Amino acid sequence: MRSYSILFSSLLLTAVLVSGCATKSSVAKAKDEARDAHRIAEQALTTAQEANNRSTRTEEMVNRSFRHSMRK
Amino acid sequence: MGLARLRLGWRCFALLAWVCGVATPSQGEKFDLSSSRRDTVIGELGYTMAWRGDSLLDIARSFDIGHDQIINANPRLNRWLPKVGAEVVLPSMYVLPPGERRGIVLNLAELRLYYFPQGRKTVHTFPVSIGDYDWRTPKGTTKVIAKHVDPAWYPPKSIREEHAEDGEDLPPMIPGGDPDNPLGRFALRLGIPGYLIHGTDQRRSFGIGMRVSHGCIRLYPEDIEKLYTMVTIGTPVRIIDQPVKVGLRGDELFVEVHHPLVNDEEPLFDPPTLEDVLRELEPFVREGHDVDLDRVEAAVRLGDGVPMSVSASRFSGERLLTATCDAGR
Repeated sequence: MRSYSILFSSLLLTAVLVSGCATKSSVAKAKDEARDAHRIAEQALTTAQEANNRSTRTEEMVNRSFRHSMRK
Repeated sequence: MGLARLRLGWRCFALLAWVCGVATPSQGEKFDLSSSRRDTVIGELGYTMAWRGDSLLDIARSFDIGHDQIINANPRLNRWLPKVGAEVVLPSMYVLPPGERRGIVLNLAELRLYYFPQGRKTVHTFPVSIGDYDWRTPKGTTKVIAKHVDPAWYPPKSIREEHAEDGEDLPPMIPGGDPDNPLGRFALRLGIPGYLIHGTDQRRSFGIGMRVSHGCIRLYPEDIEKLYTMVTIGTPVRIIDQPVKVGLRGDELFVEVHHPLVNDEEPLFDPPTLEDVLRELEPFVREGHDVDLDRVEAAVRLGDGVPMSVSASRFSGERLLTATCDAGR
């Protein structure tokens, strides 16, 4: 009976240790993925801002050209 | 369900307005002035929908609205590619210019001409282009001294030099009736030497309602044709520059504030301030009209040229300007 109890405790301890390590590594992996996602999102935002600036500049250029072409 | 029906109704109305409006350019707007001498606000705000392929300028021309006017009234829409289905405000509501209702009155600040036919209680109004930064249209009083059909254009040396700088060879004369003649098919010569009220060629017809001319007053081709038939030689012409107008419709007080169009080039004039508007409102306040200051400030801030009601009785604004206050301060 006692040997069963020791075996059970050992199994339990092993299970806790394994799941603890697994959780730690999952969290680290998730953190890495989140960092990557954040970096990609920042890159996308920078690209979108650049595209928006270019679009604004182009529109202003088109507006100026249009105004100029409307003169006699 | 109710909202869906409302949207469907709106879309049907917009489609009808588009069919009636976009399909055929309108020839100016005519308003009856017989109701009351005191009423100085004419027209109504309208709405339409942007369809595939329509720019704001297409819509403006269809509804006889000027370039700057439609852009100022729709600041969130792209003038070249408004979203298909977007609601477009048609700012066809105006406070009449101050002063005598006689002959032609041109308000430079709003890029709009008003024509009061003699002996009739009506007014016709048209968007116009005027002189730009280096070629300002002069203010003052004059009259129509001649009328021309298919006028030839003799570009002055200064304009030919300007074109030469851009690498264009402008001929010394463009004959009347030539499709590239920027004077268009009709012209009214003013008493101010060198200045005309004229039409335009098709290429430049989308630039009506801008500060782009060399000082002349330019109208849509269909508008100058109509004005030409109505105006006689000797018609008085008054050119004013009034960026703030105040008017009444019944007992309701409206303020119309015009800012110069931004983002394109250096503005021609500073936008009107709150003090400017309060100065114009002062006579009405002294007559007993209560004014909602929040609404006045909003009108000054927007400066979109659309008349805004500022009567305190219609809104629950807490900040009132009444006859007990000094409107000038």
